[in-house]
Amino acid sequence: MSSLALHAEKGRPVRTSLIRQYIPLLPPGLILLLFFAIPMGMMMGLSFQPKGAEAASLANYGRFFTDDFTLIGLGRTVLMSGLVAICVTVMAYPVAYFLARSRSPWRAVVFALAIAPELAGVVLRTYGWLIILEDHGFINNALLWLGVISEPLPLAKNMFGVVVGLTHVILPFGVLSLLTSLQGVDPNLEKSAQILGASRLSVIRHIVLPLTVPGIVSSMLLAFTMSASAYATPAILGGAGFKVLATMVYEQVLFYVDWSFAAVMANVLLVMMLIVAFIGSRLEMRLHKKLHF
Amino acid sequence: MTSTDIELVKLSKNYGSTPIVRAIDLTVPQGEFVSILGPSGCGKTTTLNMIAGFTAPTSGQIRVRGVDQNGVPPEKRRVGLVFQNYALFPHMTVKQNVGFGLRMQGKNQADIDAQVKKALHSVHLDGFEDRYPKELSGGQQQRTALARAIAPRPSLLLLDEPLSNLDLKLREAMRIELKDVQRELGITFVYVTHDQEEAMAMSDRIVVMQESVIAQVGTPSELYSTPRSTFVADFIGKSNIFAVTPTRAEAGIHHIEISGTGLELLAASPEPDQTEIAYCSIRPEAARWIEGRSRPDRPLNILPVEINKIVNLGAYLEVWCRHQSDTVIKSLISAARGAHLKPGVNIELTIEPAAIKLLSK
Amino acid sequence: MKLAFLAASAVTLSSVVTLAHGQDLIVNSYGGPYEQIIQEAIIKPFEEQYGVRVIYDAVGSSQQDYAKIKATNGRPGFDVVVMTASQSLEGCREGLLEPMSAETVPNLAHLNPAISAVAGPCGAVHEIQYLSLLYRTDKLAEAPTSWKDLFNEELADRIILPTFANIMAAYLTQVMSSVHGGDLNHNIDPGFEAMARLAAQAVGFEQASAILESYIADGRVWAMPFWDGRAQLLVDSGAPVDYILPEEGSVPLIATLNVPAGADNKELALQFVNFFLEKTSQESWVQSYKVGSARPDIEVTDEARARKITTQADLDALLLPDLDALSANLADWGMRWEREVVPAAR
Repeated sequence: MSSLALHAEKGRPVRTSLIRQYIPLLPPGLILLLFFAIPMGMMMGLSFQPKGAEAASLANYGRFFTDDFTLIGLGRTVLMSGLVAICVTVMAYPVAYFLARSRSPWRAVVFALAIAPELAGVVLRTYGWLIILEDHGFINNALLWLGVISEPLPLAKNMFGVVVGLTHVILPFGVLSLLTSLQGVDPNLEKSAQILGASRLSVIRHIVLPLTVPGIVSSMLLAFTMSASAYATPAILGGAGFKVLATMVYEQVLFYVDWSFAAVMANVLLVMMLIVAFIGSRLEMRLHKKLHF
Repeated sequence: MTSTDIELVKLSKNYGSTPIVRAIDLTVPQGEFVSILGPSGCGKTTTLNMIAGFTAPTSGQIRVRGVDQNGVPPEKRRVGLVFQNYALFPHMTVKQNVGFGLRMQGKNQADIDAQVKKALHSVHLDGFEDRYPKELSGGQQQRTALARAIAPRPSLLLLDEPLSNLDLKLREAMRIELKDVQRELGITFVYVTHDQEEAMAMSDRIVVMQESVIAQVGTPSELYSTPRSTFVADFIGKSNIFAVTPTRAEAGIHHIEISGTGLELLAASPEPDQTEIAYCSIRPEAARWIEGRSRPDRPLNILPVEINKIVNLGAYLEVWCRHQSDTVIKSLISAARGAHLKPGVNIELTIEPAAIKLLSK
Repeated sequence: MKLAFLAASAVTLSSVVTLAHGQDLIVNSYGGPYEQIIQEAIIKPFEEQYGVRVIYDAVGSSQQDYAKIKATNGRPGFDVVVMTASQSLEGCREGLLEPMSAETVPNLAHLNPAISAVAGPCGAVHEIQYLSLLYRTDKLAEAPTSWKDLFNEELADRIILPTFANIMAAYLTQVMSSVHGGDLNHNIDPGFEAMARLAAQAVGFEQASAILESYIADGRVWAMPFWDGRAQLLVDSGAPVDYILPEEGSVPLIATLNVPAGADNKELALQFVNFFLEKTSQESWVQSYKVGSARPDIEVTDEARARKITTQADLDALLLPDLDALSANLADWGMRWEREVVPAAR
């Protein structure tokens, strides 16, 4: 049994056995095992037991990947998440830049406004968007009343509505993520660029943006994964025809009661997100190196 | 005739109700190497930031070549700036860094390449074009920052303690290089530092700042030999400073008593009014050790002292001596001469009356 | 010493809770106005008669409750739950629900056997609704009489349909199939073809009954399929609506009382089920919730007679689906719905 020898202050060696070293890991390890590893394992196993089948089989996976309906659902999930990732990052960047650089007293207010909506929860805000975007909601009614349009614009119950809703919900996370990255850029770099003749826009284009690309990648990754697993917003703002993996899983569990197929969908979602996360983090690492930090 | 490059007229800056810079006036002729020297918090960096345009003054004017800079953003002021931490763009090569200002000016690539080459040559970094900042040593980074600042040919260069991150030997070498570049290119340098040795070594003139105002402006030798306040006397070089009470004056010689000690000295420096004399300043090298029995003929301040401690400065010894009046006076004695001196030994010091500076504050 | 104290308290507390539970019955059903009705009509009388306390759990739809039963392998934490005949069949097959017989629930004998058969041995049919045609009295010149009236030109963009995740959709497809020459269970193509045509008339699809209701309540749609119980409640609330049982007939929504196989208070639960099936309870339920009953021997008002399933004749006229077949077909029909019906709407 190997042991680690530490010397206490008085010079006496203190031996801590390897086992005792790992004891503090036990409680969290146990929790992870019980509430994460085992259920994940069960879900994996479930996906290989189609309804009515005796032995383990890949039948449900086959079903998933040969049915264009489920594949469209997968594609829609990826598209939706990608769009949200872009929208969140593009909108969060100026806000994060302001928070990182400005010394105006409005900073605290902007920060609160950016983060506070999280307190209201997802469902409340999503229904709020429904009221604003639906065919006889706030925007359409206003435009109809003004005579700008004669038919309501389809702003809800489609990809547009879902992307708007999800962007709103995920934006605070994007802001926080980009804020960290922006704060890592030495303000003297911007000042140097300025004094060398760069306008504010040039400074952002030549200095700030390139140096925050890793932050941009990680913000997009964050927004992507949060979107891909979102349920409430696509369900409420997407309408009946808008099926993404999360809503499809819900249906399989509760309506069709085909838990095996639901597990297949959940696993596909998980693997898809892992692939994206993997690609994203490799990209981020490579960019970091390229920027010679 | 040299034209005036920079004029600061009653320049002030407050943060809230705290004054950081209070109504400073300064004129800098073109081509001068002027240092702004002072302890931390005296307002020197803020003054630099105002000249660069990063901070707007609360009141007062900044004129560069006669043009009022009020409202002109940093990118439109044709000044260069070298930061303490160099602030090199880490994602660009040395060549791209140095060429950045020219790029912003819209010059074509061929011109940029030529200018970059020249600038790198000035700082002895030929051949470093394709390196990245993180591959450079501290000194190389410093020189790259300098090259970047001078490449767009500004008429004025601001430097914010650029050498403080370097070790001593490198610092001393860089001082010479900086001075060479400045003289070669004829650019006006405004150099902010807290290191008085550095300022003394490089500057044509030094502006000493203390607590948001200018304490004194002058050439290094002026400041050294005729400080106008105990602050300047103490900040520049070393000094023995005592509070004094003037007893009487006759024929240009002031009799002063080191307050509360009864030790009387004769001082021959000009001072306007007898009643204003409150302090005196004596450089350690002016307190000379008399060896042997030879005494000069003129009446000089002769003090018998006992050595308290000796600080070895290499070529010189700083000898702390105590007079019977309990006054401690530091004397600078060449190490060769004072090789056998030890604490407890009694010696005699003499101070030339002209070397005792009389100050009112 | 501390450990012993903690252990002792834990044991005491759990036994106290179990004892307390021993006196209580946990009944899981719907919330909202339904909750008030069931409390008045069934639960309070039961509590009085049996001298026990009923804890009412309104959390979760019947689908979510079934998922809970399945996930906990029959020990979901409640003793009685209101679900549907489909879930009764599936739950029974999986061994998650307690079978009921004439011994344990005597009143089962009084129910229409055909209807009981649809629900299987683990479900007690306590309520029957039928799929009605709900319409705005102020918008339609004449009251509709047939399912085919939904296809009328005047109703273009004036109807709303359920999403497939609402079981109403599958039932509606079956009805349409029957109306258009197919049958309820196997020859379903005419049903889908009709639904595609009907989708062209629809403004969209919604999931929840409450939201479906809102469309006709505020006049965005003028006619829609809807369960008769809720339709009646809407009429009673004063909205300018009415509903019919179309001439071609309709399918029922057979609601059941179920007892999970691992319920703590099984005996009391079965007694509750039996109580719900009493003549008086069924009469009370029909009158209060405006639904039909599977007991043909109840005495209710003429009004209820006229509009609800309350007689043998009414029960016989229902188009009864084979729920096992439906369950087997559900996934395929779901796909067909998404492919053929949903795109036809926009």
